[in-house]
Amino acid sequence: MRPIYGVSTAILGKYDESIINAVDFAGEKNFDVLEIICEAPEFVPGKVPNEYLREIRRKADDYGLRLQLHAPFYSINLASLDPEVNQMSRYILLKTIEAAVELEAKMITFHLGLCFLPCKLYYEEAMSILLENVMMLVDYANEHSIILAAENRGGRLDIGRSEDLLYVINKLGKPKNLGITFDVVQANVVNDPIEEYLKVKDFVVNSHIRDAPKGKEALLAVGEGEIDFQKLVKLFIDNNFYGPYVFEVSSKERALISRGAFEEIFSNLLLNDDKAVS
Amino acid sequence: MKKALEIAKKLSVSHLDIFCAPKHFDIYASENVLRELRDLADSLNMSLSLKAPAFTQNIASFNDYVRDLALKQYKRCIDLCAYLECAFTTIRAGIFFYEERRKMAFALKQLVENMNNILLYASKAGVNVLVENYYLPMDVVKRTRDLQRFVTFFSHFENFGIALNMAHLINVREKVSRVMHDKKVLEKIRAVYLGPPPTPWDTEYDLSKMDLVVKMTKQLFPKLRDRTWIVASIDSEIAKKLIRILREFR
Repeated sequence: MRPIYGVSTAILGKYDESIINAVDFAGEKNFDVLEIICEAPEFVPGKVPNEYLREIRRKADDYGLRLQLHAPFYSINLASLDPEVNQMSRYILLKTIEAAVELEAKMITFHLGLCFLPCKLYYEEAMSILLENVMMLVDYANEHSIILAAENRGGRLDIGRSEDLLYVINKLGKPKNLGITFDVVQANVVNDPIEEYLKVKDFVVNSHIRDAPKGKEALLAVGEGEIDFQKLVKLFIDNNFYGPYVFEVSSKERALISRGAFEEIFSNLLLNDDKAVS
Repeated sequence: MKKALEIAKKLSVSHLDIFCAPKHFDIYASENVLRELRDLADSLNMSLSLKAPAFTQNIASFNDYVRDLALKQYKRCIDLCAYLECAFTTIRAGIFFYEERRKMAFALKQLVENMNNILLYASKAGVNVLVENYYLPMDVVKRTRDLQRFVTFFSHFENFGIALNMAHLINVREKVSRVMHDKKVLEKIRAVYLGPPPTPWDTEYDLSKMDLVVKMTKQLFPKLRDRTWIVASIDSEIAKKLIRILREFR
């Protein structure tokens, strides 16, 4: 199996750079996948002109580039006890699915939600709202053959620990189009990423690859931080997970460095396997 | 709310700040419920204020859905405030996330327009709007210099004021002396939230910093004696302790 390498629009640093720039970069540098972070002002699902969506798709097609989406997450809370916030969050996620249909994107990463004071006081009710919302979204995505991938999160208020993700997936009866986006650095914030990966490995369908100092959050290139990628990639292979490895880093250079580092790790691991066989 | 008013009365306080977050309080509560609340507060001789929803609400967001909902809910709080004859409503100034930071000048312009819009709306309804300092790195108003900037932008609105949150100030490592030495900021402070760091609006408190809360309160209290001091904590023992301390200062 060949690894699938992707890049996130997180690489767009400059004020005036657009998603089209990211498509060009990913295409010209032969990445397999581009993950578009659906963020305002350029890409608010439901507000993006169809013409622009078509332009993005046409460009991606020209490069043979596969698109996937990262749903909006700032102020989005699928576990909110506030009916209006809840309704808005659901609506934005539905519109993200519709944008994915237009772009022929087959995977959407999303965040489960946040647990503020009201959720902490009425946790079960918040989780019940969350389950209902995710089930509805999973059904809608399924109608369009789209996989939803809930991302692990390490923030104090996030509902996104490995245990939360497994709880939701299991409670919903392990729907076939609901998986996990394993974010290495978010795992690093809460624990050893290796341990966190082992908890969720059976459901991982997508990954965010970046590096950071131990216990910290950052968008560094692979090798710039302290994460043991040798061990992690070995585990990915052992579990037959060959990507997408989406490099969610802060610049184009860091995406290229990260892919280079992954290629080297892969070739070393394959070399070791050959030696072991001979 | 009836229970909250009764507890407030038992604690011999004269003001109740209502945190507008479900299930605690529904900003779309029926008129009957609201009238009952107003009458009860009246009969107990208790003044009221509203703390508008402030978890995901963000009037500084580039996302139209998020921004529009926050504006709608803040305006609803202003309407409620007018109906309940509240002293003021408190809002969060907003949060600049990644995209807003990339386009800072535009983000700031949009935020100022939205604040103008809110203050004008509130002014017509005869309602005071207080901006509360928050504590996250992305928050627009965290430090004294942010409060100064807001005072510069909005002090021409008579109904504009500041709700100083002491715990948040501690969390961003700001010395209270900076606030004390700025006359214009001091003048605009109409209420002070007194609660445990990192934020009273959560359940996990850093009690090791409570001594600092008390020390800062002692410094600030003489300057703001006549403002509304709101004790904020979901832990009733902490709340009682802070009320006791305030009484000692008085």
